[in-house]
Formats: sequence, structure tokens, C-alpha cells
Amino acid sequence: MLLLVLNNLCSMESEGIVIRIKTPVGDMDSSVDSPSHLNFSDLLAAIKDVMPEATVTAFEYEDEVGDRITVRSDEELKAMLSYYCNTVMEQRINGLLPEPLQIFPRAGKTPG
Amino acid sequence: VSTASSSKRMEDVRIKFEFCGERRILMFGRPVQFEEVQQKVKTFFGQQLDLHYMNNELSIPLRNQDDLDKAIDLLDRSSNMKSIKIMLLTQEQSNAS
Repeated sequence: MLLLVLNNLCSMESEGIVIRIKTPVGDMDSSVDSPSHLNFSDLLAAIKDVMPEATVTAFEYEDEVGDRITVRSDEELKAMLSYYCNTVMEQRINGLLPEPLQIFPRAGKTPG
Repeated sequence: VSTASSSKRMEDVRIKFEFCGERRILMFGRPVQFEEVQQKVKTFFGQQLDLHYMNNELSIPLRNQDDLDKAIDLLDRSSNMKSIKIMLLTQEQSNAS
């Protein structure tokens, strides 16, 4: 769990986001109170908690056209969150409940 | 003129890079400089790569600021496009295609 304060990244939001980590054994939701303060290594650490046996160095998300986008740095994470916040705003405008942000860890070989 | 496209002109430009089957998205503040894009590509992919603008089946080499400006203009005019798609090729790949 990552507990922080929110600011301008999600300007229309005030209650944080939920990141859904998709793993081969099931989904794990992690709430992030402040997406703007989230960094890449925090998220990798959260993934490692969920999948302690795997070596994860990157993860993917799906963009608006369904392409899998790989994230390997803070800068790409920022682009992902900005995309997600826009999606949430659109869902709210259309009266829909925002979907969690789904990420797909890119697991390396399991040692042993 | 839709409000969607006018608000789009204020936003950062999202560029979707594709290299060796992997896609990565970076955001660029306006005005987007061609040199800045080239530099970012070098930093993120570890080598100097040729940029090819992709639009459906069409692929156009992006060689200078003018080419990039045109690609951004197309993005701003489109109501459904949310990012610019750029295929990255090594110089050998570019010459072969």
C-alpha cells in the first residue's frame, strides 16, 4: 500500500487511484492515494510483494487502442498515469464507475 | 471546430514508439523539438535510431522539424487519435525498407 497526498496530476480527482496488478495466479489491487508521487521503483516493489518468486523489471498496460505499452522508467510511468487520469475523467463524465488501472508485470524466468 | 481538438492543442504530445516489437509511450511538452525527440530516443533505447511516422498502413520517415510538425498537426486535427505512432528502425533496417 502506498499512502501519499494527491496534487495536480489528476486535477479533477481527490481520492487516489486503484492499480490492479494482473498476475498468472490472480489479480491484486493496490490503492495509491497520490498518483503524482508514485514512482517506478515503488510500483516494482509492490509487484515484488505480489509475485515474490518472479524477477520483474518492467510492466505493461493497455492504451486506448488496446496496444500493450511497456513501462521501464519514471517518465513512462508518468505518461501512463496521465493517460489513466484522462480515461477516469471520461468515465466520470459518462457516469461510469472508473475502472482500476490494470498493469501486467513482465516476469522474467522464475529462479529454481 | 470541436472543443476537443482545441483543448488538445494545449496538452502534452504523447508519442508511442515501437522498437523490436516493444511499444513505449513518452510525453513531450509543446512545442515539441525534433532534436529533443531524437535525444530521448537515444537515451531510452540506447542508440541513435531513425524515426518513421506510422499512420495506418502508411509509413513516412521523420527527418526534420518540419516533418514532425506535420505529424503533430495531423494528431491535433484528428478527433480520435491520442498519440503519434513512431516506428524506430536502425539505419540498416531503414535502408533495407
